[in-house]
This record gives sequence, structure tokens and C-alpha cells, in this order.
Amino acid sequence: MIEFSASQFKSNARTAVNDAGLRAKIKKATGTSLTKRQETVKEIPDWEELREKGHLLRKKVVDDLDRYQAAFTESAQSNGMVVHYAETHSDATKIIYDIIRRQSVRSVVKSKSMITEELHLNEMLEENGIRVIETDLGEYIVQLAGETPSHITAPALHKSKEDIARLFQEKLHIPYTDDPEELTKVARERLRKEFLNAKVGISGVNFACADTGTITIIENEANARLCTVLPDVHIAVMSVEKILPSINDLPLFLKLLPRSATGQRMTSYVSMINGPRSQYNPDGPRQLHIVILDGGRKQLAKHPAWKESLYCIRCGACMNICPVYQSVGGHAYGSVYPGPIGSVITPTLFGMQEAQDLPYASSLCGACTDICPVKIDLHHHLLWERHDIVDRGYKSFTEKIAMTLWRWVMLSPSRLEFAGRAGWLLQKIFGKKLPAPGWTPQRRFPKIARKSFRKLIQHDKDEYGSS
Amino acid sequence: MFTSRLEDAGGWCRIISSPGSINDIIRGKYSYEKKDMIYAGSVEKQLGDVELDGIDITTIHQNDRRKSLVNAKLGITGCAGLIAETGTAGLITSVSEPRELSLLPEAHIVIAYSGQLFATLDEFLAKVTAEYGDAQLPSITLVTGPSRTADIEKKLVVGVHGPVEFGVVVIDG
Repeated sequence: MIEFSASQFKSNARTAVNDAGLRAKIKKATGTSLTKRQETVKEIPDWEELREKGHLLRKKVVDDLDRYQAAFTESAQSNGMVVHYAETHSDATKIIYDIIRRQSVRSVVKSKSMITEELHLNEMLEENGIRVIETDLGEYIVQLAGETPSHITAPALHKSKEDIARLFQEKLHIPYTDDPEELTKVARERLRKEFLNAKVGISGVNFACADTGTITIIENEANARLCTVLPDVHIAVMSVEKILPSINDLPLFLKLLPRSATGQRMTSYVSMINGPRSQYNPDGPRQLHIVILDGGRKQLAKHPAWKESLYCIRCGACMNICPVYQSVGGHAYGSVYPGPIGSVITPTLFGMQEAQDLPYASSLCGACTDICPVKIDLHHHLLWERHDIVDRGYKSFTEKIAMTLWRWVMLSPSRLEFAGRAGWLLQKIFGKKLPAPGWTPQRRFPKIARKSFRKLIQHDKDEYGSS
Repeated sequence: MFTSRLEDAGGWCRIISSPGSINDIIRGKYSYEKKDMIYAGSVEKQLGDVELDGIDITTIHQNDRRKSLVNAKLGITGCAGLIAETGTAGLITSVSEPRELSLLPEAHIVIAYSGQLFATLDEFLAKVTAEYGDAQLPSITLVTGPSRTADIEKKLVVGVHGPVEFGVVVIDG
């Protein structure tokens, strides 16, 4: 079962906003990524066209998930991969656990993957006595701290180098150093040993090509290469919408993704894996398992508007640019997927009622929509979800009354005029103390003018004529 | 363009006119002792009669390749193509150049010919897929610079889990 605490967004956000240190760290990190992104996107004159192409290709797949799943499965199988299909999250974790159990190992190495976060795979495996070693540096840090990632491409973004220095000192028993190079070296040494001994490696998948059965993994550190080349068994976990029609579509997405994520023209490594060890592949694992998760996506793909959220390629650019994310960070959202895309998919994938605050975690400024490399209309999705939340009747009785009243007032000039005067008078009497629950504790109530705009215009017309 | 794009990604590129100068490049770059093993893939054969003076280059052994590669200073491979737009080398795995050779040693050098240069990834992939036709593709790795991370305060650190250094030598002509 999926557990998340998206229902606590409001209180989480309040705590986060008051943490000046956290805000500074997030601002710095997101700012760096955005500046670099700007530089490398500028080099591509037809960027807008590429976004459009990306959008259409993702649409093609999402509109026809069953067919592409079947095509990819067939190609992957003919490459010697073992393909498993999991309808639910618990089916997926069970399949993965069974594969590991057959190897009779006590630990596995793992590279960064959002889908395994969504599955809460580590917790489940550890409950069953299997130690999961996260090998991406950011994930390694987050795992040592007993936390969860706060950003989909920069998991430890919420930690300063001093935080990490203290963490390494305490957990790894090394002398205090806050030099990122030294800290990285420590992690390299520790993890090298784990890689060389590992019998099972787990990874995610960035793109799966339906025509050739290729799985593509994008990274900078080489930990995913080590996880997928060295162990005897490689388990690649993907959600069903990760498929692309053809290997020839990869160059387009390899142009869009690294630039949007970190501002790199290309990540250090792109692994295009075409099968386990065989006469064609002299190296790599003896067994290569692909676990394809539906987890509610096929249902979502049927919705005419919301299916668009499945076009996402997980670059994290919408998080970097979002003024709300910049202020509260990833953990406040209480979902595996934070930021604008997280606010869009958490309610539709995991439950509208529990995540009903997330669509409101946006100023609707539209920066996320503008930056999205596959042109997902993110801020409109948030608006449509708000609509849905109201339709389902999740809003409080007071809010409903307030909105009905508001509507009634706004529909008539005389009622609006009266309300304006009444408001002005009440503000005169009560001053700033005039409370509006859920509103005034965080915001100052605007000062109501003595004369309405309408009145002022009328006055000017009378005085100076209508032209 | 290839050189500047690769340098942006933290790698280096030298263009030479005869294979003989590879020697000087490697010796100039690495101070090594006899015990620091340097491993080469099939590229050694491609180089023909070039004598890599005083450099103890060993061709990898299939049986204990992993153990020896972990302690190696340098892995030398050829490539299937270079991509100018991004400063990328495209490697295709093979018996003489398995993926460990470009992954485990401390440094990785690619030796390529100027004829292997492609403008874009699209062109490179089109060539590779055409070459294999209906046959099964081996695994492909695109390498753009050394192993790197920016997970600690977005500060770039080179050499996390893979090679600390990555360079390309292009033989022109």
C-alpha cells in the first residue's frame, strides 16, 4: 500500500517556510540548475519545436499503452530479458523480492530510481531481511540520514555540506570534513567494495524502446553502470509509461532531459542496455529482469485531460522554477513526487481526498508549464484538480458557504456596492483585527477603499464628461 | 566543436597525426610504475605496429578481468563513433572491450580516428542501427566526460564511482 502524508501539506509547509536555512539551501541549488539549464537550452534554436515533438511522442505512447507494452515486452524477451508485469504496487514488490530470494543474498546494490521510491521498495526488502545499499551519492546521504529524497534528481538538495559532514562523522565514524571532494571520496571507497561483492543490482529505467527492447539509464556518477554491469542479476524497474516507440526517438529525449534537469548537454553516462550476457553481449549480468508497473497508470491514461501527466520524463525542472517549491522544499509535499508535477500526479495516482491540498500548492503563475520539456500544461492541471476537489465536496462547510455568498455578491452590482461599503465600515470599526479564518493568519487583509472603482469612474464621468 | 564540448564536460581531447604520439600522451599524462597495470582493448591491434614504449600495456584476460581492472590506472578502448554536438564517445561492448574496461580503472582513454566523427547523436545511432540491421544490438554506452556528481551543495566533484579522468585521442588521417 502507498503511504504518504500529503494530507499534512499545510502544516509541513508552515514549518518549512519558517526554516530560513532550508530556504537558502533550496534557493541556491535550484538557482544553479536553472542558470545552467538556461545556457544549454539557448544553444538549441528549435527548442520549442523539440518540446512539441516530445509532447506528441509521449502522447502517442500514453494513448496506446497496451500496444506499446506488448511491443516492448516482445522485443525485450527476444533480447533475452525476463519481463514481469505488475498491476499493483504490492505485486511489483513481491516480484522483486522473489527474484532476490532465489539468489539467496542478504544485500543488494541499487541506483537511483523514483519508481522504487514509489514502491517503498527499500522498506519492504528490509522488513524481509535484505539490506538495500543506495549507491547514488545523494541517495546514499539520504539513506544514511534515514530520510527520503527531497528532489527527484537531487535527492540531498535540502542538506548543507556541514549537515553531510556531521552525518558521515556520526554514521561512518570518520573525522569531520565538510569538503565535498573528501566526502565524495569516502563514499566512493565504501561503495566500491559493495559493488564488487554484489550479486544483485537494482535500477530504474529512463526510457524503454519498444522496437529494439533497449532500456536506457541516464546518470553522471557511474553507479548505475556498476549496478547494471557487475552483479549476476540485474532487476530494472519501470512504470509502464516509460516506453518510447523507437530507439530512433532517444536522441530527441536525450536532448530534452539532461538540459532540463541539470543544464548538461549530455550526462556523463547513458547506458543503452540491450540484454543480459549472451553471444551478443560478452559482459553484464547473467539474468536481466524487467519489472513493468501499472500502479494506476492505465486507468489514468483513459482520462482525457489528466493522462497528460504521464508524459513526464522526470527532469525536475518544474520543481526548480516553482516559487512554492523554492520556499518549502520537497519534503513538505509529503509525496514521493514533489513540486508541480508531484502536485498534479499525487492526487490522481494516489487519492484525491488525501492529497487535496497539493493542487493548491501553486500560485498558478505557469512557470512550470513554460519550462516543461514535454509541454505538460501543469498549472491548468492544478486548476482542473481544484475543480474536481470542489465537485467531490471535499471542501469545508464554511468554505462552501463563503464561496456561495461570494458568488451571490459578485453577480449583482448593487450587492457588490453594498458589500464594499459594509466591508469598509467593518474595517473602520474593527481595524486589522477583522478575522478571516484560514486567510488572515498568513496574509494581511487588503484595505477596502471608501469609494468603489465603479463609483470613482462615475464621479469622473460626471465631472469631466464621458470622453 | 567536439574538443570544446568534451572539455566543457570535464574531459580532454588531443588530435594527433600519427599513432606514434599516443606514447607521449600517455607518458605525459600518467606517472606510473610497473605495478600500475594499464589495460587496452582491441584498439591495441588497430594501432598495428605502434610500440608503446616503456608502457606496460596488458590486454585484459577474461577470467580475472574484474579483479585486475579494479586496480588498474588506465583503461584504453576504441569506440564506435564520436559525437561532436555533445563531446560524447559511443562505445559498443565486445569480448575484447567489455564495459568494465571503461568503468573500473582510474582513468579511461578512447582512441578514435577522425573518420569516426559524427555531428549528432541521431547520425551516430542511425549508423549503428543500420550496421546491425535485424541482428541483436549489443549494449551501447555513451560517455561524456569523467564520472561526476553535484549532490553536495551543487558543487561539482569529479570521480565518484567511475573514472576520475576521461580523454579522447583522435588520430587524424
